Amino acid sequence: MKSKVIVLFFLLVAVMLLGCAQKPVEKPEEAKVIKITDLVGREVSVKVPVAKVVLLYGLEDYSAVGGKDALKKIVGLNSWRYKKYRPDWWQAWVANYPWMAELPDVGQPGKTFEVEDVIKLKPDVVIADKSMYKYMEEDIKRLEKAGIPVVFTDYFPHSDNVTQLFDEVNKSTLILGKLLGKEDRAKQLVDFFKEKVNKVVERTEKVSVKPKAVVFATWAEWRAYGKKGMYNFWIEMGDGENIAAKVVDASSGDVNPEFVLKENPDVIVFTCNNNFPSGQRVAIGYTVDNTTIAKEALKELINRPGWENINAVKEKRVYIIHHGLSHGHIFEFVCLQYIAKWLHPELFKDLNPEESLKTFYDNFIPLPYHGVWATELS
Amino acid sequence: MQEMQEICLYRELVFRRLLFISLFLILCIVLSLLNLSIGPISIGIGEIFHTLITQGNDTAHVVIWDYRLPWTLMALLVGGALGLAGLEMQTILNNPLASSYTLGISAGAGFGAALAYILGIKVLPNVPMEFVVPINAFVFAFLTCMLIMLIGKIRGFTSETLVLGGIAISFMFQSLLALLEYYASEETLQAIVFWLFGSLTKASLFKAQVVFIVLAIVATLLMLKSWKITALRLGDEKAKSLGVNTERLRIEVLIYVSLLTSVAICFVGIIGFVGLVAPHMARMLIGEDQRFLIVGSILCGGVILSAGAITSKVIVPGAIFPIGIITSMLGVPFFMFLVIRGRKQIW
Repeated sequence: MKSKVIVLFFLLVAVMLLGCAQKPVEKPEEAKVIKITDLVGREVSVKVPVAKVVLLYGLEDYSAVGGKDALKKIVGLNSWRYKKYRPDWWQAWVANYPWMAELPDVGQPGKTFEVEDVIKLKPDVVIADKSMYKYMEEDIKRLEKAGIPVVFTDYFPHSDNVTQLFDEVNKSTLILGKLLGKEDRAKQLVDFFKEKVNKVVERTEKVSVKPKAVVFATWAEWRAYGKKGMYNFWIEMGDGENIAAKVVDASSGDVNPEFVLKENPDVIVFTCNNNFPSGQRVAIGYTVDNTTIAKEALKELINRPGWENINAVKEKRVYIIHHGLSHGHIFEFVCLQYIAKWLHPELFKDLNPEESLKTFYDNFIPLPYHGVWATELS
Repeated sequence: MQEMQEICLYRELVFRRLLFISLFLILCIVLSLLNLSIGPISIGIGEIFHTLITQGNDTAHVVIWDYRLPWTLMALLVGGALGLAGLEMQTILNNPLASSYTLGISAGAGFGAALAYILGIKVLPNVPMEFVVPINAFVFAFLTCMLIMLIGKIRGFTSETLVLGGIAISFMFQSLLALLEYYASEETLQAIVFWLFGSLTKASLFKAQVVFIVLAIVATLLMLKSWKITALRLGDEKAKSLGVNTERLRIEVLIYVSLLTSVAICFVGIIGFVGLVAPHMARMLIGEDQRFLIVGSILCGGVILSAGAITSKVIVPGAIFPIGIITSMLGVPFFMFLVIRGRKQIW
């Protein structure tokens, strides 16, 4: 009995001490109105740090800047997009933060987005991706009338120009930093990104022979990434030659099967979402435990007439990668690292893209690292 | 004297019809040869023939046997099947606008394909991956036909009932398809749109054989009925007075056409316009006599789709342009020319 009382007493003291210790840290930051130029080029006034956020895109980048605390600021989420487009990531978030499943789903701009739902939630800011702007022009006016600012970020690569990419990632991340009052961490994140990208582009300057590569989608047999596709930019930055860019001007398009035989690529990459190729099976992603299914899928994907004579197949330089890794989020540097390593295995012997991704998760994402993100034919 | 003149006139007519049929046949052969010889890898005509009669594992053999020959045959056969199906639909429905589109068969097939792509629903279990989408599309296309049949059974097989029923079914499947598309992810949406545009890249010799067998059987069966079908074009009353059981004939032809259309579109997706235009072109040049018109429509369909297939390869060498877009773009101007310049009444 006596010992229990003592334990209780100490606990009480401990709790009080903790409370005291936390008080000064929690000093409320002074709210101020700042002007932000977002990635669409709009100037927006926002009262920062924000307390209530409606997030239409980029939970990963948002939480990488804001950490766990920022998650609690989310009052509305475009969970529609997560469930449809990145089901594995959604499962990860909900498994670790079950309350996220209960967040109001405000929908995907151009599809299910409901501006009234957002107004009802009275957020301090709405964060969206630049690609959503064209669907939101009318809604932005309505939101602004209701006093809710909308800020657009952009993490998509738009060319093979590294400086431009850095500029874009830098701007987007610093905006998130300013909104969440985490500018130091934002800067840290940008430096991390730059370092990981530079690791690749600095070294490829010495490359003399550009290996031929092609990236196919897993959802349409001969759909390859062309001149305006993000994979083309990664291949260019990794100093390879994307054969499909010669014939496909758009971001992706169908190539003539013969063309692949004629060009004889050294590296073939398949980009695959978590719902490969259309819901039949799950080969890759956060939720996948091992590479067995992905490797099986690769074997089926290369089972095309004449492919046994293609360099990439002969030398087993055929790979599969998570589609979500390739664009639109700050950890896209991992995709660049993978592509560069696949193009120049000797040059990047010491580069471990998976380790990079793990480090990124451990340092920035409030989720444990897990999953199969890329693998090779073996 | 009068009699002699009429015989001469008839002979001239038959000669004219045979002339156009031979012309179509020659065009089919020429276009197929072009289809076989055009591609990113250059193979001479001589080598193509050599490759076709020998076996081997070199690049030329792979290219010809695994890619170009299935592609070429599929273009020819699917074009022919769509042409014939369009012709008979227009005839039994007595409607110049009838095609697999009007009756909702294409929309049904599209919905079946989308079910496989978007929800992963298989109509038949344990089907190899390659055939999941075709079988779904086939089953739904055929179901659509049966639905039209049911409407006909209830309301009578008049062309108005069938056309209106077809339009209703078409809208139903189109909205269901739109609903599926609305909820699809980016990737599956791309896959289904790709299918809806139509593509010959999924061709194989096996699929070509299936289409060939169905086309051959249906064409033969229709040829046997050609007199009755021709009579139908005189109007129901006249056909009945000639002893044709019009309702039975409509049902029978509808079944053949359903089978033909379903098989044709299930492998390559929806290729528009061929089924509508090919029969009209053939009819303008050949006339109403089904004995010639059946062959003419098949060949004309083959010509249009083969030409489309070549164009889809050469617009950007090395890439494949969706063939469904090309057939329309190619077919419309020519069709307009015939409509405006043609001397005869079209329908």
